Amino acid sequence: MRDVDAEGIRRMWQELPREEHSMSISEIQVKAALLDDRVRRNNAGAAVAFGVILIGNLVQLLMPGEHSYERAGAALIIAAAASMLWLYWRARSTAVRPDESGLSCLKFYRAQLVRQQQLAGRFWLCVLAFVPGIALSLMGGVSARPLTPSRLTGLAAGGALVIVVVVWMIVRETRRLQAELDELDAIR
Amino acid sequence: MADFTGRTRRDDLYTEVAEQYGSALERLARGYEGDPDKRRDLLQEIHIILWRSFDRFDGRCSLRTWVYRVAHNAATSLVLRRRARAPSLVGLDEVAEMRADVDVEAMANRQHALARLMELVRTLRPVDRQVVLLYLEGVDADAIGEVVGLSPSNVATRVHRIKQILVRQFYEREP
Repeated sequence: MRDVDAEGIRRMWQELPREEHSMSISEIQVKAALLDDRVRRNNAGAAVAFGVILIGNLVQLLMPGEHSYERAGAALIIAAAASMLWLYWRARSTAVRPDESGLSCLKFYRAQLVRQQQLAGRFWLCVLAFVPGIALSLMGGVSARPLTPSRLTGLAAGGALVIVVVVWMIVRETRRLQAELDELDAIR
Repeated sequence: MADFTGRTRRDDLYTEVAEQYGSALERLARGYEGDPDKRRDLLQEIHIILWRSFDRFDGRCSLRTWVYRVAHNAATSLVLRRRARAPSLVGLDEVAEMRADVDVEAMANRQHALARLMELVRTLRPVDRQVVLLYLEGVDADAIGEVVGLSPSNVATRVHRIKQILVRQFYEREP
């Protein structure tokens, strides 16, 4: 092999032995249907999980006698769950979209990166809504007992830390994706 | 529309493609996935996406271009899904700068050389990986440009670099 060049490597590649994974049309149809079923099941599972969060917090929001902190927390959690649900539907589309599968590879790759970047950019909205919502609910819970300044400070610091860390991670990811997009645009 | 046997145009196109490009698609999957079980899953996914895609195939590009675009896009989607837990990918420039450390005697072993080639391909970023895999398949520069969406001159430059990298990584001993 020492005497051959890049052509030799190319030939060697093309002569790779087959692994025989061919599928008949009926097998393809069955597997495609199974794939669709799995997607439907996942969607149903996510819808149930979000439904539980929404209903649970809606009950808390409407229940008479609830502390105002808890009501505000429940409202924020509902808003966060609703935006998460919306993002989840968007995120499902990071798989190959039928109308995109025949695009040139560069356009397809770019479209995927743009979608990931948009998702990363919007994710902070959910975090910003979830963290204060949970914090307010907790404050409502602890305020039944004496809410000491140290507890309040700890709660606020914990919430702020979560927000800072998540926002930092999102900014880093968005920048990385932007650098990749810039690189793609430069090579066209 | 289905004919009297119940087969659709999509089925006919898929059958033609599976016969003509089946082995090329297997090699393409090797360029994206090293684990045999996961590779089988990827290949099945590619076949399903291809079969579905023929509903939208309008002949504006050649069947070969369509097949390679759809297959590479399906595989790239997998790369993006797994990126968070995969080692970072590199471009041709970084590969060219890598120390070759070639064991020329070991490279005389075909299996060893193929394993190294696949390992090298799987470290590349999507666009470079697509160009390398299409080059290895024997697709010419114009057709690679059509599949990937790069200008022919850009493809030619990359192919030239790929050839240099292959020779350096496989045949030349470091001084």
